[in-house]
Parts: sequence; C-alpha cells; structure tokens
Amino acid sequence: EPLSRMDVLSEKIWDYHNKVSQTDEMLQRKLHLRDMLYTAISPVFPLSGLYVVGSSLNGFGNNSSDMDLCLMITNKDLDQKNDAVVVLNLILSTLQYEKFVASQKLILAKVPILRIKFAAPFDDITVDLNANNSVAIRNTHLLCYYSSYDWRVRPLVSVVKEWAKRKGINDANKSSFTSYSLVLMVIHYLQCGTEARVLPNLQQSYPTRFSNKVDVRTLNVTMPLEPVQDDIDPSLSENTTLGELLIGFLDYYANEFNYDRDAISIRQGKRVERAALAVRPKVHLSSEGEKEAPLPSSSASSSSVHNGIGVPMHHSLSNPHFWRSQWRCVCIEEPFTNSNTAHSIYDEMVFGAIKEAFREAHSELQDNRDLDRLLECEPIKASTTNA
Amino acid sequence: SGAMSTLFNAYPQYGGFHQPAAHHHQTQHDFHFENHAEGAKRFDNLANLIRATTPTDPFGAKFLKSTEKSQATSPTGSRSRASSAKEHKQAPPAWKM
Repeated sequence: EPLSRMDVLSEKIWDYHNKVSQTDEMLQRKLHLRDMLYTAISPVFPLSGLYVVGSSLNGFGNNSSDMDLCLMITNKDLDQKNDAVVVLNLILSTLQYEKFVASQKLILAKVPILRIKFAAPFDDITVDLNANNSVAIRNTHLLCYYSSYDWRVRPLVSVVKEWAKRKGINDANKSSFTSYSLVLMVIHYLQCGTEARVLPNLQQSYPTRFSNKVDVRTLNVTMPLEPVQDDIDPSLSENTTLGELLIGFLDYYANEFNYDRDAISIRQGKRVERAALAVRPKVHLSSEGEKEAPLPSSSASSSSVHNGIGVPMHHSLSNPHFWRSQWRCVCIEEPFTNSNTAHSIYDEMVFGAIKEAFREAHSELQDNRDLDRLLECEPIKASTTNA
Repeated sequence: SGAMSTLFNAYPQYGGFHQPAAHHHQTQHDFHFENHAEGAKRFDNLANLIRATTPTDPFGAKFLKSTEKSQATSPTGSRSRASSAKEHKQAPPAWKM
C-alpha cells in the first residue's frame, strides 16, 4: 500500500514536470528572438556573440522562464561597474529604433542588466541581457550536464521550484532563494544527501571539460560524458524513486542540513564548513577603509541575473557589514567563483520561515505523499526588514 | 558623462568597433575584441543534450520492453529513452517505478 502510493507520487511529479517544462517550440521562439536581437546589435559589436544562458538552456527551464542573454565581446573581464554599463547603454540606444522592441530598462545591479520587453508576437518573453559576464556561460554549461546526467534531476527541480514559488521563498527581491540557488540545493542533495549517490561531482570527474580556465568558445557542448571512475553506482542509485527523492530533499534541508555550520559546495561535491567559505577580505578593514578591500573574485554571482537585482547598489560587497551579512543565513558556493549565491537571504525572520517551510513540507509529504496538497500551500508570513 | 569616459574614451562614438585587431596595441586599457559569433551559436547545441536525455515515458509499459523499442519518436527524431549525459554508462535504464 505505501509503495503504490509512492508510485503515484513519482508519476505525479513526472507529469507535473512535463506540463511546465520548456517546450521545443518555446525554445525555438527564444532562439529566433535572440537572432533578431543579434542582427540589431552586431553592427555595433561586429564580432560579439550573443549566448543564451540560464534556465532557457541549462535544462531547468519552464515555459514561463525569461530568457537570459550574455553578450560576449572580449575574453578579458569587463569591469561591471563602469564598462558594462557603457556597453549596455550603447545597446539600449541601438535597440530603441527597432520596432520589435517594446521597452527597455537598464538595471544597475552588481551585474548590470538590460531588461528588454517586446512587441507581439514576442510579448510573452522578457530578456535580461548582461555584458560579458562569462561565468553565466560556464555555469549554464555545467548545470546542463547535471540536468542531463540522470532523468530524475529535472522533474525534481521543477517541483521544488514550484513549491518554493508558491511558498513565496523563490524571490530574491524578498530576500529568499533565487532559482539558481534552489537548483544548486537540489544538485547538492543528489551529490551527498541520498543513501546512494545520484549525481557525481562533474567538476572533479571531468576537470578539463568544466574548468573555468577553458575559453567559453571551446566548451564541449555536443559530446556525452565519457565513462570515468567515480562513485556513482547506477544500480544502487536507481533504487530510489523520484517521489522518495523529493521527500528526501525536504527531509535533508528540514532536518539534516545544519545551516549554522554547513555550506553547500557543488564544486567540492560535499558539505563544507561555512567558515571555510565565508572568509573575510584579506585586507584589513579600517572603519573607513572599505575601498581597499579586494572584491571577491566575482561580484557577478551567477548566471541567474536575478541574484544581483534584489540587492541595492549601496550594499557594496566591499562594505564589511554587507560582506558579513551576505553569509549570514544560507551558504551556497557558486561553482566557478567563491561568492555566495544565497546572499540575498540576510533577513533572520525570512530565514526562520524558510526553515519552518521545509519542516512543514517534509512532514506533509511524508504523511500524505500527495503532490497536489504539497503545492496547495500558503506563502510564508514574514516581513522583511529591508536591511 | 563619467561612465562614458572609461573604456571607450579613446574612440568617437561607435568608431572603435570596426577594426578590432588594431585596438590591441592602441588602447590604454589593452582592450581587444574577440570573435564570439560562432561560439554563441555553437552553445545552442546544449538544447540537443537536453532533448537526447529526456525520457518520453519512464513509467509507460512500453518502456519496460525491449531496448529496441526504446527509441522514441519525436518531432526532432533525436529523443532517446536512455536518459543520461553519460550514455555509455547508463545502459537501458532499469528505473524503479
């Protein structure tokens, strides 16, 4: 009896995923729109490349996902505070004469974004364009191989994202998780939270494929992963059903993960001590000496451009108070930089509500194994203090 | 403006973008443009990886039959029931369901 109910749960998860995941048709429309944008931009930046990044191409997209684009013009780091803004302003001026562009907005975050909306028939797609933030290309590539490694990864992420959205904890603007952070949490759980490992550490097993030294133009995007010696035993890992993985995920973050002690590191394939990640800038900070503190290698936190948006500009990473607070609650290491993708959770009230949400969801699903009931949840009640 | 006088102050508007090779030696920022046009198009191929690793019906009865039948039909013709980026390792899957 419990087993058959478990089967129903797994199938429900799969069905839900199929209902919402990005269709081929939607991807084709996005690629077409990207080509139109490139045609308009290329006279200004003739050799540039307009990469589709984020959920539209990392395997974790659903049909209502926006399209994140990364305009690459150089292999060197582009100063995001000044030069990227210049580039995006040039593009804004160029696109304003295009009939298919309805409106544009330059968003000044740590990674500045040009947000573009379109005239019909593309009025259902919003584009977030960044300038030369190449880490977005690398982590799109990495996540795509994670999403393709095992068939259960994508449906699990679809449901976790939807649950978090309905719970009101998938919103960086309300100091909770970005979708990118949620994906990393699922991958981390499948790397080291299950009885039999479901996902390997791809950066360790395939160091050359996923090295952050590789020129993004030569990333291998066509070949399947060659077999290597790792500690994944498919015959073991496949014994866990999709439904069990969802319950296990909620259990892991409700009861096993120690938020005070642990940090999530996909790059290392395990939990690490927070203290090891949340290192302060090396330079001594005098009370007024913030300007001398080196920025963490990536103020650009990830492909998920939303990461930067919820954080007002005056929360400079070089401000020691912000530096501490960005590691306060949940620590998720970005796989190619050493920044914390969950830095937007700096509110203790929200953090408490998030932990409570995991506990509730776990006991709910454990007891009833009913996906519909899990998704019929009420949003958390926590007022943010706008720190 | 202040922002406009950083990277591009060496150029009149738009003027610097036409001969990228020359910039290498000229700019005070040592800034040079690189050709990413093909790389960006190549990157779209990740979509094929996603398609090729999407099982069409992991719970269906047909799925449990021979691997011969496990080649699904799809608009692209590229869908496969074998669902792993690690094709060789994950033989005909025996997903417990």
